[in-house]
Amino acid sequence: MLTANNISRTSLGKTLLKPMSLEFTTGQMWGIVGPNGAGKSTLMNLLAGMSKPSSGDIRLNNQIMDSIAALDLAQQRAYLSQQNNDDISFNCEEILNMAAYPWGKAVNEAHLQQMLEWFELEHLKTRPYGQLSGGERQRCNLARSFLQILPNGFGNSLLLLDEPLTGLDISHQVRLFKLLKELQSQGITIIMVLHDVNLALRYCSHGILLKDSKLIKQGKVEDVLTAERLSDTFETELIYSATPTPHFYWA
Amino acid sequence: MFMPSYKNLLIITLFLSLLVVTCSILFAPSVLPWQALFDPQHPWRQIVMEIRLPRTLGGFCIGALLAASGVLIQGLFRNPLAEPGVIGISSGAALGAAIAIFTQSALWILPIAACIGAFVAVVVLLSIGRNLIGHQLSQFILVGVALNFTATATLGLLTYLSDERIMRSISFWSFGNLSAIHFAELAILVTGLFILCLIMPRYLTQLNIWLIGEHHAKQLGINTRRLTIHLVVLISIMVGLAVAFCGVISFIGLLVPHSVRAVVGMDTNKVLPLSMLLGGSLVLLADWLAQVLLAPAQLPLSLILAIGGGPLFILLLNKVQKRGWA
Repeated sequence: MLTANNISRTSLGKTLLKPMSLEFTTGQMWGIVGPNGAGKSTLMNLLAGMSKPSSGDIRLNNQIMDSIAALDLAQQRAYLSQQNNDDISFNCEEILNMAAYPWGKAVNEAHLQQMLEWFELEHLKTRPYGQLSGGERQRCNLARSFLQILPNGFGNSLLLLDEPLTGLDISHQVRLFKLLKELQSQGITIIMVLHDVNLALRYCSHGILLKDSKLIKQGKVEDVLTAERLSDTFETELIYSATPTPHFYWA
Repeated sequence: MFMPSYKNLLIITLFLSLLVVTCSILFAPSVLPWQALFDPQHPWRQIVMEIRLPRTLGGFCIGALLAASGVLIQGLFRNPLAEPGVIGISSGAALGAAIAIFTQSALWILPIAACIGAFVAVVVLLSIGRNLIGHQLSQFILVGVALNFTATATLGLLTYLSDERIMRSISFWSFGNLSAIHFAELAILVTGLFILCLIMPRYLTQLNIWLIGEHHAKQLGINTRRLTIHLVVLISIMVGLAVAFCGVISFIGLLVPHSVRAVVGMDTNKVLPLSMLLGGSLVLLADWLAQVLLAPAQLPLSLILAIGGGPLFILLLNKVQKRGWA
């Protein structure tokens, strides 16, 4: 459903992403892993159609990304980045309703209730966003991203999440991944940047490993995130253990 | 706490505004003799039709324009402190208008020159303060204050260059005074405001999303570049129209949207209509004060509003630095 053909990105003479080709198939859940500054967010921006690749092209549902009208694109994919404006005083419900903008009508009431319930936002509905905690804001933003593509049905929808776990407590992390798994099984394609290698291994079907703006490896998650390759990439020794060792919490 | 719904609030505000407009025509500054209501030959009729009516309606339009421009400017710059008078957009418009007066152009040139002046000011602010937008709230205001000084000083310089008659007309006008509004001016104001009211609604939802961040707006399919350009043009026309006929009036665009936001929240779809009604009413109240405080002398409108607005601006500055828009 999403293919990137030999894409790269340079800006102001700096290489942000070296050429790479990727192919994402409907209903896969991809985790992008890599050290800080590896180019993860740059790649996400390109895949979301927020910036243009300096070379190569990206196709979403067989259409060249550049040629898709902005509103059509917003109906097919939602992208939650880490850039947030924190001091606004819209309440949570108003923020969620913004998800309906690309559709030119009000947000679906059933979807809204579902998301309020899933992210436990019901009691925060009328609270100003600026007064929410970091985790509560993230839940609100996640719910908005889901609401944006839910009317599109599942088969053609793409969800891009840049570090979706930011600020979430353990219980909400688990809930989020359960929801993602559920949506994935319905056919939504999910691509996310994750810092937690363990969660990537456990929940993602596929993985991308980046380092120094370069693609190290892509493919099935268990083939990509091997102990040896991760140790090399992060220059930190990691041990693979099939079951968690004692004194280690595992959700 | 009991809070009326937005719809009820709008009805209440509309009613209050009508009341203020009626009172302003009938009572400000002196009470209209009741006989004038029924006697078409009564000498007061002429006063009402030729002086009070254009002055009241014109003042209301100007207040509505200034309040609306405040809402849009705060949205465009994602800065709750941005206000056309404080950050130099009104001064830009005033400079444009003064050049038109200086060159003794026709009446209809005046608002166009003012709009161009405001446009230049907004573009300068956008290009200089671009990296400060939405982040460094008070630094951005300082850029605006500097722009304000420059435009005001240039305007001052212009008065030195003009002969006495033109100088008097520039300085009379630049103090902010509604008495210069007659039917020709009123016609331009009403037409402008009417067209703006037709155009503005389509931008309000986009502006809401723009307020939560440029990235979010783009992600949701908004052409942010086009939105920015359209807002700049709308703001220039609003400020230009408001300034063209009565000079710079500060703080309306700050006080009114802030008070409204405190009640209905941040949704621009609700903030804008309420702000326009309240802005119009506030100008009429200030105009009434300006006429009666030191009667028979007429105080400049901008003086009244700045005496109240200045201290309030300081309070807001404090609040915004602590809590942002919330």
